[in-house]
Amino acid sequence: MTDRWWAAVLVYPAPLYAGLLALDHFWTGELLFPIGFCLALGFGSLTGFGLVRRSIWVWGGRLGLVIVGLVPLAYGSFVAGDLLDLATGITLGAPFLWLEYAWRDNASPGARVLSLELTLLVGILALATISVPSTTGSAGGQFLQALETVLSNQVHGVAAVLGGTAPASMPLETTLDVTYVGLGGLAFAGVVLPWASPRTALDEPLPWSWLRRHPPTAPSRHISEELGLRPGQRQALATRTLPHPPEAMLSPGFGALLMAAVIVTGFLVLAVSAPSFALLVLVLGTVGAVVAVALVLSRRLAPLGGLSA
Amino acid sequence: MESSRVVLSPLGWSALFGSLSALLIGLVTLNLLLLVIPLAVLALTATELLAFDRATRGFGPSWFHWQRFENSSEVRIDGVGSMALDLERVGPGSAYLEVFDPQPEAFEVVLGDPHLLTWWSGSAPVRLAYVYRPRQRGRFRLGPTIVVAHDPLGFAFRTTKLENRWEVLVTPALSVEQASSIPPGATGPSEAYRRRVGPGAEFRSLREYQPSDDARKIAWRRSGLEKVYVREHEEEAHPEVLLLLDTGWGMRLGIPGSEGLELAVDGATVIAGQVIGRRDRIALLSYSDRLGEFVPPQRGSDGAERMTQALGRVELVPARFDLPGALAAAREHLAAPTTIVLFSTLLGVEGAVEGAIAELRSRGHRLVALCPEVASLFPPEADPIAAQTMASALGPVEQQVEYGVNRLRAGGAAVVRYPATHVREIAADLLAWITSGGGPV
Repeated sequence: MTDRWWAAVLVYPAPLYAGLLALDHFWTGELLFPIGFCLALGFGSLTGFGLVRRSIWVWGGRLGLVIVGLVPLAYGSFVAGDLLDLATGITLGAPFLWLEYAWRDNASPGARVLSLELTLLVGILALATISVPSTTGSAGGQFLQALETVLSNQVHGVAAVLGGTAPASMPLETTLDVTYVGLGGLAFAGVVLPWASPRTALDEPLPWSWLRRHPPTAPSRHISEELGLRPGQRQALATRTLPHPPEAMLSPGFGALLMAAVIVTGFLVLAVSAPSFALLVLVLGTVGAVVAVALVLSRRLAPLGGLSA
Repeated sequence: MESSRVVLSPLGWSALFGSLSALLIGLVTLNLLLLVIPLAVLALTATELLAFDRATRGFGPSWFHWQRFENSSEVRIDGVGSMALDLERVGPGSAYLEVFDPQPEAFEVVLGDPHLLTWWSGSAPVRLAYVYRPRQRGRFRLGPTIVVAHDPLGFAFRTTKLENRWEVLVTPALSVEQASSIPPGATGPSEAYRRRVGPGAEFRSLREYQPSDDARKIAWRRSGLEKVYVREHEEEAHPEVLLLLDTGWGMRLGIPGSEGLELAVDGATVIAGQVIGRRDRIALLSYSDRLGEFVPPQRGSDGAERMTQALGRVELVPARFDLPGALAAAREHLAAPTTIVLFSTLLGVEGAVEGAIAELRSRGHRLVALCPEVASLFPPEADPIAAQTMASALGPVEQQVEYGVNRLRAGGAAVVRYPATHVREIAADLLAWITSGGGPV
C-alpha cells in the first residue's frame, strides 16, 4: 500500500459521508441525481489514484464535468428536472475532482490545506442543506433551493454580525455533525501528518516511512582495488557517515506539533465557553503569529548571511 | 556571534499563505471545523519557525571544527582523486544538517557521496568521503563546504559555508609509454640518425675547400699552398623540442571540453611523451599576449612529471594571441638549435610574423605549426539547413585561419592542418616526420 493510498484512506471519508447523507436526504427515486454524484466521484478517484494519467483525459474530463455541472445550475430555474438532477449530483461530488491535491506529492502544503478546506466547505454546505425544510420538485431542484436558502441565510447572518446585531440564522456555523467533525479531523491528519515526518519526508512523504526497514547502504561496500587508493583513503571511505533519522521525541518538529495541539485545544475550549472572545483571540493570535514570523525572517545578524563571505 | 538568517522554503511560504487564506474561508463561514484546520496549520508553522530560529541561533562557521584529509592534490585525467572531510559540532544540541562539498562539473563522483543529510546529535563527528573521476584537465577548486541547517518539517533553513577550499590539478595522461607510439624507424637514439653536418658548434672533420664554402671556415693551420681545408661542424638532427602553446582567446574555438586549447594539450602530451621516452629534452612555453609559463628543457621521469604538471596548468587567457611576441620569447629562452612546435588556431595573426620566423631560422631554430581544421572542431550537423548555417558562420573564421597559415608558410614555417579528431595520431607522427626528413616540409 503506497503513501498515496494511506493519505486517501484518511482524507476520503469526510466528503463521502457528507455527500452520501445529502444524496440520501434529497433522493426521490430519480437516477440522474446519484449518477451525477457517482460520475464526479468515480472520475476524481480515477485521476486521484493515478489510474487515468494522460493530461488530455484528466483536464478534458474535469472541464466536461464542470460544464455539465455549471451550465444547468446557472440556468437552474429554466431547466427541466432530469438535467438539473445530473448537474446537482455532479456539484455534490465536485470535491472529489480536486481532492487529490490534498495528498499529491508535488502539491505544496498551502495547496493541500486549501484543497481540504474547500472540500470540507462543500461537505458543510451539503450538511447544512439537510436541515432546510423540504420543498416539492425533483431531487436536484430541492437541493438547489435548499443551497440557495443556506447561502442567503449565511450571508445575511454574517452581515448582521458585522453590523453589530444578532443574526437571525447562521446555517454554516451551526452545522456541527459530530461524525463529520471526526471525519474532518481524520482528513486533516491525512494532510498534516506528512509534515510531521522529518526533512527527508520530501523523499518519503509519510511519517510511518521511518518505521519501515531501510536496506543498509553500507559504506563497507567493496572498494575496488583498481582505483588505486591509499590505505588512508580507503579507511576514510569505509568510515564515512551515513544519514540516519532523528530521534523523533527530541526533534523540534515534535515540539511544534505538541504546541499546535495545545493551541487548537485551547481555542476549542474557548470557542465553546466564550465564542466571541475566542474569535477575538483567534484574530489577535493570527496577527501575532504573522508578526513573530516576520520578525524572525527579517532578522539579519550578519549582512547577507553566511554566504556573504 | 555571526549567524546566517532564517530563510523560508517554498514549503514554509505555502504553509503560511495556505493556512492564512484558508483561515479567511473559516472566518466567512464561522464554522468551527473550517476555523480549526487553518488555525492548526498556522500554529504548527509559526511555532516550528520560532522554535527553529531559537534552536539554531548563532548558526555559522563557529558551530564547527573541520579538517580535510587524505585528499588528492594532483590527479591524472585517467585516474581518480579522493576527498575526505571531518566535521565536528562545537557545543551541545541536535540539528538536522545537510553537508555538501561542491564539485566542479568536470568531476564525476564514482564512490562515496559529497552530500549528506542527517540528524546530528551533539558533538558526534561527521565524515564525508568520496572518490571522483575527472573528465577534464585543468586546475579545479573543491569547496567551500556548504552546511545547511534544516528545520525538521522543511519550512525554513539556514545556510553557512566553511572556508576549506582545496585545489586539485588534473594533469593529462603523459607517460614515457608514449614512446611506444613512435613509428618504427624513428625510435631509439641512433648516432647516425641524430647527427649530421650542419651549423652546429661541435667539430666533425676536415674536407677540401670548395668555392662555395664560407671563407671563415677555412682551417688555415692545416692548409697548405696546394690544398686548402675547411672545418666541418655537426648539428643534431633532432635537437631539443619546444612546445609553444597558444593560450589566447582564439583557442576557445570548438566545443567546450574539446576546444582548440584542449586539442593542443592533447597533441603536446603525445609529443612530450615521445621525446621523453626517447631520452631527449623537451621544453614548454605557453603564451597569449604575454608569457604564461616557461618550462626549461626537461628529460627523464622528473621532467615528465614537471611537463604533466605544466600541461595541467595551461589555461585560456582572454587576450589575443601575439605570435611575434611568442616567437621572440621562445628565441630568448632557447640556447641550442630547437624545433619549435606551435599549437595554435592561427586566428588573427598580426604583426611582423615573417620577420620573427626569419630571425628564428637564422639562429638555427625551426618552426612547425599545428593548426586544427576549423570545421572539424564542431560536430557535423545532420540537418542540411543547420549544416549550411554552420558552414556560413564558420566561413569568416576559416578565412582568418587561412590567412594566418599563408603568412606562416610565406615566412618559411611548416604548417600542418589536422582534423580535430586525429590530433593524437598527427602529433604521434609529427616528430618522426620532422626528424626523418631532416627538416620541416
